[in-house]
Amino acid sequence: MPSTVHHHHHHHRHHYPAGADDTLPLSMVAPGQTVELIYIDEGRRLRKRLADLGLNVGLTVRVVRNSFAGPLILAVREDSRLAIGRGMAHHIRVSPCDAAPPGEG
Amino acid sequence: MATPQTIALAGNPNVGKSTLFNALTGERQHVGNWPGKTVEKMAGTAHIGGRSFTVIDLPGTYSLNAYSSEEIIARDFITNEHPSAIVAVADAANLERNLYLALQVLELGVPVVLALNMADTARQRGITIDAAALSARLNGTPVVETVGSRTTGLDALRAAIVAQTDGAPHLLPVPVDYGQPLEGEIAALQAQIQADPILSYQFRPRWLATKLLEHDEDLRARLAGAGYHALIEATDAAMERLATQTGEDAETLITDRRYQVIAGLLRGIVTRPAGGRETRSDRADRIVTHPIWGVPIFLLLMWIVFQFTAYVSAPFLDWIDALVGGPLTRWAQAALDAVRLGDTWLAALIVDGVIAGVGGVLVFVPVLFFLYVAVAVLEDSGYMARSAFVMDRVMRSIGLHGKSFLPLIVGFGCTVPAIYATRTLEDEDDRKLTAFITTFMSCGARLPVYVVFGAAFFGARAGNLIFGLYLLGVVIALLTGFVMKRTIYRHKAPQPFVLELPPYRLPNVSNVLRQVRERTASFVRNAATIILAASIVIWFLLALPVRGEGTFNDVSTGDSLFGSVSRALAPLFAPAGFGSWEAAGSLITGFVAKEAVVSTMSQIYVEETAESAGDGADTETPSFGDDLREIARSFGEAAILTVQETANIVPRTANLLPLVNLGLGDWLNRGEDAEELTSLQSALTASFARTAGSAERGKLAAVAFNVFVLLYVPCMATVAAMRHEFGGRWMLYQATYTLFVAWLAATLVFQGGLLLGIG
Ligand SMILES: Nc1nc2c(ncn2[C@@H]2O[C@H](COP(=O)(O)OP(=O)(O)O)[C@@H](O)[C@H]2O)c(=O)[nH]1
Ligand SMILES: [Mg+2]
Repeated sequence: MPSTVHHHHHHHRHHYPAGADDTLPLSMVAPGQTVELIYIDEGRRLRKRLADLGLNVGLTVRVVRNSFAGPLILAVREDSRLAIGRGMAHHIRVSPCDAAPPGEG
Repeated sequence: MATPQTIALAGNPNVGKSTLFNALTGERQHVGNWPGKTVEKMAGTAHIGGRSFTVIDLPGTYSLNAYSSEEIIARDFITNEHPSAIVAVADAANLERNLYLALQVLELGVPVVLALNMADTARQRGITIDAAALSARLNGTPVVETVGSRTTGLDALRAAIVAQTDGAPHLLPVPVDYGQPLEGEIAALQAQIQADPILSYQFRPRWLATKLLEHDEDLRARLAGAGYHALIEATDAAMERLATQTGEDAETLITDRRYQVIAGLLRGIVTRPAGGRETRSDRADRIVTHPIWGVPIFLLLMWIVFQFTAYVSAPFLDWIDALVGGPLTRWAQAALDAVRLGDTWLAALIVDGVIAGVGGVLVFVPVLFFLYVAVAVLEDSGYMARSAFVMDRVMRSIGLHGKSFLPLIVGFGCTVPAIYATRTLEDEDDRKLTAFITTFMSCGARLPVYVVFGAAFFGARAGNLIFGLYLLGVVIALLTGFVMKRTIYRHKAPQPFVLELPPYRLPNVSNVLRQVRERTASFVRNAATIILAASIVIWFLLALPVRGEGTFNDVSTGDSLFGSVSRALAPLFAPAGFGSWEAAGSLITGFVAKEAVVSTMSQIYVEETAESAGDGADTETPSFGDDLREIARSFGEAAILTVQETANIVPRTANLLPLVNLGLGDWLNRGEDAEELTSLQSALTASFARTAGSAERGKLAAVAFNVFVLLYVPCMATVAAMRHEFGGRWMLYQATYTLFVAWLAATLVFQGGLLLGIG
């Protein structure tokens, strides 16, 4: 199972220590890389929307496309492809998975 | 059984709900609108084992949290309408994510059948699913593997539906254990809800408690409206406690827990090969969604769609036009003659009012047919989602979603299908705004007016006038969108861009054709009334004598009520330089159809020609058999021309490139129809010069007139479509706005020209 939900990191959005660890914005991840979602700095409505689409904190996703402009494409939970706007990707903090998790790549 | 039981198909977009719906209901379908909404409602009847069921194809949704108007419809139907059973359709190849919705449906406690559709795709990818074991883990909820596009597994699905609706005691709802501390808070809220008999009748208390903790805005608003403030306060307090206790929002806790439950449900039941490979769709997307190549590819496809609505539909449009204006009119006249009504005003009303009006509706059928084919193919193939991806960056600069681009392009062909093309937009306000501005894209029917005026007033430089008008339309459309986004829709946060990209698929022909047929028929039903009514009103205006000259149904245009109304309206156009009754009258008929402007002008500007033509009118009429042969012959011709125009898309597209100039196919040797308009043209230059004061001013007034034609209400078919889609009030706003903008722009052109010293 490639997408077992990990719960190592639990940050409440108000308590998130800005820039204090090894996270980076999703918009900066190179195509082909696999990352874990750590924290989504968006309003509650949008966070819920993302979770409904299968994108919640703790999940591992692969960046399929990330060019210099325009939306990104992510591989989310098995074979779904999700496009998300660049602005939103700036607000999603992720941490790179050093080794690919089981089943990914 | 007296009333049929209702079954609803629910699931994410693109999982095959409509395909299963078609397979279950066959031809017994009905497309309508959801009450008060513009979202299409698909209902059908299925006969299974001697019982009949009403089957509803719900709009796609990812969760029971509702966002767009379509999702709210699906959610409300599932939670409020108490269907006898819900078929939760899931994509077997993406089961984990698809079960997120299915699990929420199962929590409701209604009978559910879980259809694992796309079983073929799952198998191809090496995914195996133990359906029986999954069913056992879901408390015996039937789980059926299906392939909707090949109707595999349909018998099992039917049997499961029957089993779930045969009146046997309901299966236990599938309990999702949210764990502590969530369960404690759920229980407390649940108790409070249970204490209220009305609430606990309306909702399943545990479900409502969970939904409240999820901060469901719609439910909160509804409960607040009904005065349940204590419950909402209790919810807020519970959410606060959860946040301090766990450091997480309650809704995040709930969502995470659901995904954990799903992972647990599927553990050991689903096996899949190591993922992470690049799929064929990914490879295609490397080009199609490329930040540079994506845009030209998109524009090319839109160009082709435009070609279909503007050129490929033209032969059948002409065929229907000729059929209604020729044989159909003659037959009606003959029938009326036979019952001795041939010379009465009733005959004139039927022939010139009703039949002409019906023709006005029918000519749109080929246009809509080709548009819907194009849209259905784009949707079914998976390209529609990519087009939004590609154009999002561009359209965002004027505050619109990427998908708004398609309707604007279609608008160059015909505004009516453009309005319907906005259906692909998810956000209701974006949809309204896009439809609002499409009417400024200059449609094909406006072109003949520019051509006549261009030739009359500008001769060889006519092209500049035409190009300028097209450009002006685009500018006004974009400006209107820009301004509205900053005024009326100022408080609306920009739509965040999150979109699932379905894998590319070959469109299913029967799926496409069924959609096309239903949608076209739906337009005809809805537009017929308003267009007929308007045609009849105009006929009466033309038939009523008001100046003591002529009698009812035998009066010259100038002496009719139509002439008087035109005369009364004419001063309004004086600031724009064309305040003559003839110009005003042409604009009135232009409201019926822009195609009618030129013919009305010929009728009223060149009355002598009409009279002399009257002498030769009594040439022998063709026999019934001749008519039928001619209809069949012209039908065959139209079919050939349709193929020809489809083929001509290639040279037309190549000709866009500089230095390429391929000839267009002309299989029936038609050549260009050179129309004789010289008498009209000289009458126009004379009349406009007279009204405006000088020849130069007449030229200016002619430009102003064309600007008005470009910008005002395109035609009543558009008005009908606008009402069909957005309701009467929006239709009125739109019509008023376009009239105002048209008048203002025309006046600015004329007065501005005078100020600059022209004329
Ligand atoms: N391979 C495969 N394709 C399917 C299956 N069911 C539907 N499709 C295709 O999937 C696409 C989306 O189907 P549709 O019924 O419109 O999905 P809806 O959005 O849920 O209504 C269409 O192109 C269908 O032909 C299936 O079981 N297997
Ligand atoms: Mg559908």
